[in-house]
Amino acid sequence: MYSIGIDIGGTFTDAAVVKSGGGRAVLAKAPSTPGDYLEGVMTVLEDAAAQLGLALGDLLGAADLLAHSTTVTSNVLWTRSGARVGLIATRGFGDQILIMRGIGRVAGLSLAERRHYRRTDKPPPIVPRSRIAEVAERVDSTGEAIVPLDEVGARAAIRELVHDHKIEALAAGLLWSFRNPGHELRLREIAAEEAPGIPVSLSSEVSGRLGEYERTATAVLNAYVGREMEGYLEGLTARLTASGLRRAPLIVQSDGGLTPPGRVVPIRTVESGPAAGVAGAARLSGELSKTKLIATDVGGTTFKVALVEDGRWGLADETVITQYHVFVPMVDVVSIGAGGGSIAWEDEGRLRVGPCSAGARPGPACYGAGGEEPTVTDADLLLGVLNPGNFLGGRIALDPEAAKRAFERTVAPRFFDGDATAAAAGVREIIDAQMADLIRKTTLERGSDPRDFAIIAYGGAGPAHACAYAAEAGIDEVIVPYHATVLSAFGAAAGGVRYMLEHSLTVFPPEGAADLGRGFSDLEAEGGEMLARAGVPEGERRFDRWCAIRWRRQVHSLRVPFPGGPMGASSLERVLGDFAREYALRYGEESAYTEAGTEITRIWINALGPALPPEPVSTPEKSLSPTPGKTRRVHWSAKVNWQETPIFDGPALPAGAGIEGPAIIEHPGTTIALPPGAAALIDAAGHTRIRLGQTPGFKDDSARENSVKENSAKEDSP
Amino acid sequence: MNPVQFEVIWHRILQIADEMGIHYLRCSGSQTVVTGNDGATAVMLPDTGLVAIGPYIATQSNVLPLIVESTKRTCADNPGIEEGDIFICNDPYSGAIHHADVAVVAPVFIEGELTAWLGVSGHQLDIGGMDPGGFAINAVDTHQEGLRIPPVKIVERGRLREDIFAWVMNQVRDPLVGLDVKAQLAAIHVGTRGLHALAGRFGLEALGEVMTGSIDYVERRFRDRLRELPDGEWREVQFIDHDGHTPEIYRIELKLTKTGDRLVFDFTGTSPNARGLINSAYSGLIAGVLCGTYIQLAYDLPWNRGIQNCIEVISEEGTVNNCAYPAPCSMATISAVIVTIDTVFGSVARMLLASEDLRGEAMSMWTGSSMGPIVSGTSQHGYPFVYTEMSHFAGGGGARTDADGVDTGGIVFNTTPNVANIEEIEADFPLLYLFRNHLEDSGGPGRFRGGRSAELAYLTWRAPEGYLEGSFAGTGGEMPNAIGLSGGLPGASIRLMMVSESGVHDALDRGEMPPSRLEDIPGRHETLPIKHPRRAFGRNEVWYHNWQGAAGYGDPITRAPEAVRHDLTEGVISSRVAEEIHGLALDSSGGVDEKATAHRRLEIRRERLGGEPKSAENTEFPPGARRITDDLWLSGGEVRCGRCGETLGEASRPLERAKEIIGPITGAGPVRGEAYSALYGAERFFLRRQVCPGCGTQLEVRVEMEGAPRPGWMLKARN
Repeated sequence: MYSIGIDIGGTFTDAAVVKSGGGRAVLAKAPSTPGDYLEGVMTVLEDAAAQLGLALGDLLGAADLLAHSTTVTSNVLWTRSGARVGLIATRGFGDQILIMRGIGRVAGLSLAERRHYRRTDKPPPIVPRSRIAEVAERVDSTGEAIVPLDEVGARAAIRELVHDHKIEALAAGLLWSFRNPGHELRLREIAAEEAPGIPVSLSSEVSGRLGEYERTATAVLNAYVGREMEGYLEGLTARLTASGLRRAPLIVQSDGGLTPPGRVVPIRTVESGPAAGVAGAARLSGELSKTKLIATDVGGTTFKVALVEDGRWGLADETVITQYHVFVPMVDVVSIGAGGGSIAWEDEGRLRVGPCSAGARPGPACYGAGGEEPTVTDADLLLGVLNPGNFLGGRIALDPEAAKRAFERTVAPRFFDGDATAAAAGVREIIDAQMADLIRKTTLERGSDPRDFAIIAYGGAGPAHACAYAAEAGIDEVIVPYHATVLSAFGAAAGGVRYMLEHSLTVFPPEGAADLGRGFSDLEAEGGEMLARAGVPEGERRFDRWCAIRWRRQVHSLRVPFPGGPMGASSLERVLGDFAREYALRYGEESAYTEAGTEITRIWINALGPALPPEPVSTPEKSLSPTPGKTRRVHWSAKVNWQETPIFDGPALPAGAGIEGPAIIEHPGTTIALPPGAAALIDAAGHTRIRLGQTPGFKDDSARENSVKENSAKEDSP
Repeated sequence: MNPVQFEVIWHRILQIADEMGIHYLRCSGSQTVVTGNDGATAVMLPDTGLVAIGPYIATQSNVLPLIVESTKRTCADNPGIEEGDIFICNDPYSGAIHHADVAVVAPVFIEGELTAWLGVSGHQLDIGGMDPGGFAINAVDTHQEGLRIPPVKIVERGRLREDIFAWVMNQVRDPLVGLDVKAQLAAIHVGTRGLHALAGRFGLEALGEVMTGSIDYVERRFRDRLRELPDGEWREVQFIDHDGHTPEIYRIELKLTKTGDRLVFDFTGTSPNARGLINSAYSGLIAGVLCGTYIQLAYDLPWNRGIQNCIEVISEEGTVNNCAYPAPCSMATISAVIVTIDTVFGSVARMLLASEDLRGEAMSMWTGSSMGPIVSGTSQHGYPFVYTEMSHFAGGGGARTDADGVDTGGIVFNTTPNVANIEEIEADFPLLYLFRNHLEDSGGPGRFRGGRSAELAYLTWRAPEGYLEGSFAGTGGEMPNAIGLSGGLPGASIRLMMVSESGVHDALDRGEMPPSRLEDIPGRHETLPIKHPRRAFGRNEVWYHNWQGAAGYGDPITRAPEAVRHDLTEGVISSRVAEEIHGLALDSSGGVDEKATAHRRLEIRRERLGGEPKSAENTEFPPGARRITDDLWLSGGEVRCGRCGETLGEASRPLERAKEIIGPITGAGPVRGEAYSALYGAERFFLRRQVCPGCGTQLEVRVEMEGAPRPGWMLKARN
């Protein structure tokens, strides 16, 4: 039996096949085929089947689960190629989607970008004013429909949108519809009569949360991407079923959960690839018995970080997509513009790296495709970290001379007496420090200490930098998973069936235990049904509970786990205690405002089927020291300078192989840089487990930081 | 220091300022702070030099150094400044901008040495005093304006002074202020932790070097920028209407002189202290000057002390934007300060226009004023509340030299503007909104249009006591403050209306849909003074306001006809504005009639000149000339029209020979102050247009007041 994961990315389509009997997953990679994504999907599946010695039909027929993440939704949004959408709003409020709360002009921009007012704009509207109709109706904050829906007006409005404005999809965003969806539901019925075949996206269905702008934007974007997504899903399901798949393929959502085809909310699949990557890291946490992991992904333009604790990832409530704030629950991934393509430049006496990127075209100077600016990849190449003949599995031959010339143009003469090597080393140091800053910020913001974590490094450029940014963040352990270059595909496959369901409510503890209890059991009933449809027997269904809680009248909430089982006063008390502790941990003891009381605004469940049980991978023992295939000169740091460094062929390394740094381990698609002083071991699952052995300087300062905290804590207590 | 280490440490310092802001917002409960982003953070040198500021309100960051200065002056000896201390301050005469902006500042000691100061500031929901919400409309001295805290130690060696905290809480109407102050303390902790870690990693010396080095870097870059710009003098005159007592008009005058790498902002001539709350203390003046300068001239630099080092401010104490104790100033931010920013914006934008390389950075004025309707009472949840309506944070963006301004794009002093959802407001407060939509014709017309503002109306709803109270603090009702560039027209002004005996509440009770346009609301329509004190907000009363739009760029009859038609069909402008101001003519199918449009536009030129215009198509560029705006050439000391070549003046008097046309401000569109002219029975402001006497192209349009000095500009030869 197999679990199959597929990730359709912008550049590559990946597959990972996990066998229930254990052993290493089978991995496959092929270029993505944007015209018809299915082509790339079939290529990788056939490749994977061939590796297993199977016909494609036999592999698919033996699959319990096929789950995939995809860039289809993001692609429609970025290329602005969605459906022609019309919108219905409450009379008097049709402009909310255009006003964008005023923040639409700068949403998603960095502080530096926001400060250049002149260059900022709202995005061109997805729904222009002429395709927005206002209807008479009003629900108030209690959920009471104080003015009934004007059905005659609504009917006329829909007719006009369809006939005069030729809309292809309809969205509705009425005030307070999440409290009382009656009018939106009625609009759908009227639309079905007036415009059969036009898909309808209701704000109350895409999100059950307060905030008409975000809800409406979510409904509009959902309508915009729906057509493309549905066409794609139908095609995929038909093709795979025809090829032998027994169950419908599931799709990864932005929150890392899966959805069966009938329940897909298209906009909730945006960024599903990165979400699946984090799910992959979470899966590893079980295999490796690591409770605290930082998933780090270095691509061409961005560096992404997500925390995984006890196998769980954080969720962000909303996100910004092409400057629209939308209520799409997302795996909490934070990112900065730092990656292989980040450009080094002179800024009036300052040496800067990024956030501008050379992208894939023209790409770094060493691609030889016309790029002239020196990038991080150029630095890696110049310093010997990268092998010019082994980049992206040999797909692109790198030109070290071009990289050198790029540095010699400005950065080297301006800052390093013309020394291109020193310039490259400086650029590497700056970008690694920026990545470490993001790791530090992400962990500290959540009240955690980075030193308690191990880093999972994936993405093409991650393993080449991981040891450096880990050391700078004070982290001693780095793990480069066997699936480093296809972690999203692995994550889609390996987590098993998992659905995430949410419900909005307002409860002021200690009151409201009954409401919460009812809310959770309703969600669990719904989740149970979904699991049943996915073939999960009752005994194997599991549910996790969560709630969003805050000090009363506060705006932001914390998400804390909720105990399972029957609801009692003690379970609520436990949650309140957890919240107070978590709050104090994140924001400091005296910042809690206990006088205000607390408020619970939302609850979630994760409905989980059995994943293939993670096979614990024991901490490896070094049993052999492989001999390197060859050596080359690598520049490790200003201190160490150039050093003749052994080069290992990654796929050939057996379990138990131990390697002392300095060393380079080359895989098809990625390169692990093991600095002097670090040691790597290959474990039974093929993961490369690295101990840095030293984190110079940082530990002392953290000890001091702790002592400051302890002092103030002492003074706090009478 | 080596450039690599500088970059690594500098990146981390900026991140610390940013993180402090994020934590403040996460922990606060105030809609003003969390939704309006009405707060700020800063990292400062031991000597108070501003090193880095966080996101959000730029003006508030600018005064944190002044507050630290006051703290050092008044607290150093007694009670002393020690490790773990945090000071709270909101006194405008000690550096705060107005009473509602409460700041905390903290020294950071590392290895026993004072290494830096951190500051966090935010607009509180209430600050006590005679009116809820912080704007004391009827005050005649600052002692009536509520809590005015000089620097006071609120955290002593790491421990919260509960007595001080309780004292603050005792003065304010909304207990949520307590949560907000605690959120500020949380942000200080985050910053302190960050600086300790940074010093531990790289050493104190390196940290100090980067902090001062970053200021030097910004100063160097800013001086380079200034040297690129032409020398000259730019004079702006802006107005504040109503002082809370009477509809008196106050003036802020600015003469900006730029010589080489130095800017002198001279506010001599500005009106004396007002009797009421519209004044700003010195703190607000500095904050406004820096804010306007940052946005227009330092858009690609970190904002810190390095910019201030190139600036001199001349102002006499006892004037409306540098008031003398005990003048009231609780409304400083949204009266004297924002209007000061307008003067800076207008002068700096014209300086940019005169530079061939930087012309594209010029923007017409954004929504030029600000306003705060404040509603208070008991909420539907049973607790007392104070609600400041902040929708005007979605003001219009100023037109650009090659693009329209952004509709409802923000408010100029906030880098990250944000307004609340209607649902968020109605969830917390006993109000029901009737509409909140863009205001037609609110963007100043021009070759490129100013960004639109919006309008809204609301009534009380499910108020447990049946009624609420409301007051209003706005600026810019009688005249627009957003003035255009290069012949672009001003945006809309503010209008505050009350409709009494509307019957809307009763109609809603019967399940009837209320009107969604002001003119459709039945009942007695009344224009309210732009500032008015607390009054009852009764059932069946509907309160309405619109806010100012942004200004346009360039002569509106040179706007692409297709863009005018698009604005017309999307409801952005009225047909009157399309025809009369833009000269658009449509054919029978609703498309642009090119020929009729050209004809109508020629007619407009004729009207301007009272005679036949020269062709405006003569674009032959005289040798040796340079452009000093998109429409003007400077050639051999003479300023000439870039459209027809007509001589207009010389560098020191560039528009001397332009034809001047005086008219009502409604020549720029509706809602340009006419409601207030009617209320006061006097039209005190007028529009002065300067057009080329040759071709009739509109070159400059100003809002002026009888008896006030005229704005203007001149270029100086570079020595």
